[in-house]
Amino acid sequence: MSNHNDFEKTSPWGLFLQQLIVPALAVVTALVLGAIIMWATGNDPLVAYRGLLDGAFLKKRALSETLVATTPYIFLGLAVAFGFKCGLFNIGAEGQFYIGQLAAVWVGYNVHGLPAILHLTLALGAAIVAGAIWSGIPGYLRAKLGSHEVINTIMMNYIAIYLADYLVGLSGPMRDPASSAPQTPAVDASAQLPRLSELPALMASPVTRFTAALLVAVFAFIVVRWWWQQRGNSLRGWRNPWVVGLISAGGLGLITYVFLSSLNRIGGPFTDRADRLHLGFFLAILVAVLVWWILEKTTLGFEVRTVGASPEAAEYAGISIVRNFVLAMAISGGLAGLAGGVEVLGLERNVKSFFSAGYGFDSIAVALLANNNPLGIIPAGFLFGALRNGADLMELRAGVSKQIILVVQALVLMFIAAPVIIRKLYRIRAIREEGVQLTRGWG
Amino acid sequence: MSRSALVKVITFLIAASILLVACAPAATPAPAKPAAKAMKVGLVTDVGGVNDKSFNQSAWAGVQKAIQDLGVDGKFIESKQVTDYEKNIDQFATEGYDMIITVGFLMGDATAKKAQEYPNIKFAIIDFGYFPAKAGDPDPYKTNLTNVTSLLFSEDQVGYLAGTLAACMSKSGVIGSVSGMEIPPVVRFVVGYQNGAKAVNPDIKALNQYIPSFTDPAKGKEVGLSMIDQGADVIFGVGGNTGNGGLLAAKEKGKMGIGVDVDQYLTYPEVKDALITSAMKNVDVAVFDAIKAAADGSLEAGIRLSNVQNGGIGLAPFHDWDSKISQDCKDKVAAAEKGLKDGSISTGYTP
Repeated sequence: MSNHNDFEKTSPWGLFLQQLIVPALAVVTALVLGAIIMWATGNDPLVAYRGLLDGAFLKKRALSETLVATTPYIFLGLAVAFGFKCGLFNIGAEGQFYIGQLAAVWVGYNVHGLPAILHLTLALGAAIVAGAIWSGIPGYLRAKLGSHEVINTIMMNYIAIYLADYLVGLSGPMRDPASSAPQTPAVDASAQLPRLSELPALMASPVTRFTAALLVAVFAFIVVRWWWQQRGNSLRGWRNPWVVGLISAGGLGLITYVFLSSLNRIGGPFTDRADRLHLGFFLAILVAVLVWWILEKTTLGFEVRTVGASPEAAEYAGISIVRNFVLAMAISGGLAGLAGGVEVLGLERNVKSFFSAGYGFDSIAVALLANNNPLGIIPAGFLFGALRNGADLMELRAGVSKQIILVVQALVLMFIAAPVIIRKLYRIRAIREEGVQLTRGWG
Repeated sequence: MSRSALVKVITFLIAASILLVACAPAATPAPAKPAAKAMKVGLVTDVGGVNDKSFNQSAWAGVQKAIQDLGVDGKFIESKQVTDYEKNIDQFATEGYDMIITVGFLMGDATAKKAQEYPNIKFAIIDFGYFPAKAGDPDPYKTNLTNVTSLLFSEDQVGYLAGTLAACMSKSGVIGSVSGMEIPPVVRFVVGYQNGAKAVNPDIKALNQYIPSFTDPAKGKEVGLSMIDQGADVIFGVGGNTGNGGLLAAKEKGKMGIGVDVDQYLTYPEVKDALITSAMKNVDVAVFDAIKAAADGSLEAGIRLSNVQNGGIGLAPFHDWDSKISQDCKDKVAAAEKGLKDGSISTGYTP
């Protein structure tokens, strides 16, 4: 954990790029090795990768679908990374993802008559709380009783999955009696996280557009003013953080208003009714920045990281291990629950039986790939989303089993876990050791 | 676990997964030589995947047969999760496929949506009929789904055959059926079963209990045991895992059992000693026939029923019981099948 002490010395962007070299080369090397495997098994890697590229980015709706798959990867990657930062291995993201979906849907179809912004916030809030409780229990057990969180989160996964099966199953209490399929009722329109294609209708009234622009402006003001103050600019003249904040807020607000007014002219995902890209992706980016901010710029983040680096030292310094273990697990689970809420309110709008996606387990890999850096999780999640989304077309076009994508993912992880391979291969000197202690011993 | 230990674990897992993948058989078979302009058929499976020993596998077998016999170009996509349905249908649609087959009632909505978006592509869906949910409900899809064929099955007919065999084999004069939810396909099985049994032995006592779940083998077993206590010596398990519980009860008590949907002798070997047959829905045949009809242009929208007449349903082989089932019983089943085929026998099921 030495990198955070002298974080300010290198420019953040320089550090970011330096950290990017090994993962980027790992991905390239893994793709090359994947091609060799395909070639060796009698398939054409060029056709396959062309399919992957088309399926992930170039075909109609491909990029949208990639971003749809990226969204849960970002949230869940953040969840796992937050645990790692505190030295906790939250392997239960999958279960918390389930519970988040169930909680969000329950609020979505049981609460009526609220304005959309309140209802949606309430549903997402329920998802966060449910996920936090689901992971807080193993966190508390770990902190108080020392029972290992890996085992307990795995067990909580099973409870979540079978609980979901029961609740949504054919005779479950959350099942929609009007449907012949085992699924919950659909959430009210007011609890739906809008898709881009639904925005033109939602933003038809100028008042709504103005409100949305105002929200963006207020948000921009807070962020820009904070950022400007951080840079230590003086309070005099036009460089005053308040002035800069107000100018940015006004500008962004105006841009937002104009943008929202011209959605129909922009077309693309805004008018394609079958395009499923929803606002969750943009929320994921915001949350990634927020998590980075919490970890790097707040006392809470400092304490969590200190406990992660060395619980003994933290305790000696008067930082409560119990509190931070529970808190870190709860935040981790809250993020995973939010992932579930966003997924279900943005995509299907109801929970169907057998809805396992395996996102929760993949996201451990996403967090590792990003070296637990909250901002790094955005490109890492995007990579996994693209591979997941492009794999089907690759299989379809080239007849290569899409399992090869799992091989590529595994190779990427192997190179990340053993960066010395990549460094030797490409003769890169090791930058400062960014050792993040992943997790401590078994109790 | 220290960082290096974690790395070791991860490396081991990766190595293991690579081995696993390397050893796994190739998922997609080499495509047969396509004709000049081979019809392209895409199968979107449910989350069970093409190796689920049930519907999905059976549907893919139908496509494979079409690849072999008709020279069509067939591929499948396995849905990893229920939110993938629309996306996977899209994959085929945007790759210029002529026909897309979807498996199972969970895909009903996604299929309808995509069928409306791609009116020039033929769709077929297994086990989902588009009709008003309740009397008086307007059917949201009925009016504009001109390119979807629902592949449904006459469960009552194969139930009738199972009942014929059950009544003939029963020594106690009491038979039972452990059923899942009271939904039309299950009801059809049960009504057919009871009427088939009564046709052989008018005095037979046919017990039945619907259990509102398809995933409760414990309850199924309990119900099965109570039926055996009441004298039943043949148990028909009609309800996924719940029905399997009934079969397990029959096996443990040394009674006879009848499987459902697929040849459960092969898919549920734990109870094979008790299984005298299974009431099968030949999804592969239905799929193959639909592809064949699409190829020669005779596939029509609406419901396409699989029944004894077209071989879409039937009893599974008797396997180990073949020698223990008397020729008289075999003849009775054959006669019932013939009667159902030529229409001289009715199963007594009315929707």
